[in-house]
Amino acid sequence: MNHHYKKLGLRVPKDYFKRSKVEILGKISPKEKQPTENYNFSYYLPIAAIFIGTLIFYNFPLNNENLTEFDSNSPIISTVISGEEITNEYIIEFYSESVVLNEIYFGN
Amino acid sequence: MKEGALLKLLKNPASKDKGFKLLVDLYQEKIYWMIRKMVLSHDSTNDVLQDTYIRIFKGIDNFKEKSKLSTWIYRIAYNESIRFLNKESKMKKIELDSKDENYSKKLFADTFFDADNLSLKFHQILSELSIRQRNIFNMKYFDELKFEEISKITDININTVKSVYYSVEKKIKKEINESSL
Repeated sequence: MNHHYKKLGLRVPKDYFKRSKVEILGKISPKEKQPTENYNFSYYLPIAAIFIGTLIFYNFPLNNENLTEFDSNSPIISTVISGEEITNEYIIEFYSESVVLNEIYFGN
Repeated sequence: MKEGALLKLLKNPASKDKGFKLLVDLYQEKIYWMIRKMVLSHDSTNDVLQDTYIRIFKGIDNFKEKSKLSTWIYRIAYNESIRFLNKESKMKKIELDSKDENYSKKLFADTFFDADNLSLKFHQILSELSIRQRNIFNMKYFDELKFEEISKITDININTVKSVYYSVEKKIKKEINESSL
């Protein structure tokens, strides 16, 4: 494009188009970027899995024993299991019984 | 290489990279000069050129072949240049029908501009045109594009493109002749 220089005085640095081509191809080539991305992915995946596993293990009640223990202390859950109606009297009786049972079995 | 064959390479994932290398070989200089005359500085042109090719690479799969491949490429380069000029002006969107007030400032700040009498005269005339007029003139006179192509690239009616070009060409010839007398 000689007339750009002759008429407009515009020029480019030496070997510009050669270097520019390499730069452009380097920016768009997925083949050059993929290995880095795969490496990062395979490196972080086991760490993420261990982290999630640890969270689940320590934060969620996974066996029925824990659930039973938790449920038995609640008058609401207790009515669901026994089928009785939840009334004020039931709640008072539920807690009175708990106190008595504690006195009998644990001496509190 | 014919456009159809190049497009086949570009649309096939297995040969896309090879096709893209050919595309860079074919259009790199042409696109560069079109952008350069719009943004003026070499460094800015280099940035816009790279952004243009990234956009072409990402968009080639969606190219619907409603226009020639070369027209589509030039249109992307044109839009990227306008986007750059808007970003550069910071304050507000550039008005294509008004002059670029910073034309001379940008030109003389560029280390890859060598001034002589003829180039200074050319630039003086070009700087007095609106951005739209200047783009149309440059695309026809320097980039040797057809009126129809310029119309599609700039989204301007072909008759407007022709009348703008001929009036600017007349003005430039007159002023260059007067200054050389």
